[in-house]
Amino acid sequence: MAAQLGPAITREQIEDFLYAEAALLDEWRLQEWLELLTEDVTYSVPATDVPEGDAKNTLFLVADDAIRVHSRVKQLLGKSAWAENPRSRTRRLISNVRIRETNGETIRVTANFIVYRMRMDQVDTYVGRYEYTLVQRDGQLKIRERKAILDLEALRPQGKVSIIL
Amino acid sequence: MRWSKTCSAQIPSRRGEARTTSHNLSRSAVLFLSSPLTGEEETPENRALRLDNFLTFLGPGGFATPDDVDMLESCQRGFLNREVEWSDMSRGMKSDHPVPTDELQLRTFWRRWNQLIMLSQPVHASAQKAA
Repeated sequence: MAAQLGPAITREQIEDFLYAEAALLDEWRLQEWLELLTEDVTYSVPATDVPEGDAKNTLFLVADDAIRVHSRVKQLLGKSAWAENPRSRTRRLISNVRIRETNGETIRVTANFIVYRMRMDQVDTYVGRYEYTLVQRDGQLKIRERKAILDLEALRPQGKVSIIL
Repeated sequence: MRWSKTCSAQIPSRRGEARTTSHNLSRSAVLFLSSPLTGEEETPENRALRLDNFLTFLGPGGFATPDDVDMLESCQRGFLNREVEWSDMSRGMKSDHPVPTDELQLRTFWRRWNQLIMLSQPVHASAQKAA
């Protein structure tokens, strides 16, 4: 295993990063959120019935590469995403943040999430866990892999995942 | 006035499933079941491409389906209204040649539905114009 340069990353630093990311998403500052992603980022949300699936042979809800996640943000910020026009209010709660492995510049992190989405007098609750692969670049953390695995058995009554989980 | 969540969507993602159906569960809920069609001879590369292509448009996290679901929810909310008795499907009625975005096809459908389901004669065109 390659020796890690600099002080070991702490849970607090990872939490700060995840809380800051959640704030960007809750505040719909999606362009700034894109800047947290690496050029080879993947953002995925497996289907509720096959949470351990591989996107190459199992249908996901979201399986974005960098190009698609940028398109997604562009659409969400545009005028024709009816599911988010007017925009929902969201509130992300992140907890149980654990550093699972560090290997050179990459850090594997898991956390639990609850994302509340408020729109049209409805509250949708998305519950699940995150699996992140973070990298350190010039003293900053960036996201190379971001997977949101829902614990929901089905998207009832949520119906859609029109926000970035 | 409270109204229930009007739509839900679920994607079964088992391999080999070939189903796309939508069911009216009640007047306020529509269940979508959607999964990609597949053939037995599909190569892994083709499957990966097909699944990827599906997600650009379809599914709860796709670029189009959430908007469709949102529109259907809006329709369902509208249909709960009991003060307005009629849906207006008159677009294109004054044209000699209605265009595809007019509502001739809706009127034709409902006239025939009326015949087959309600076992009644189609409503006369002039009575419809008064509505």
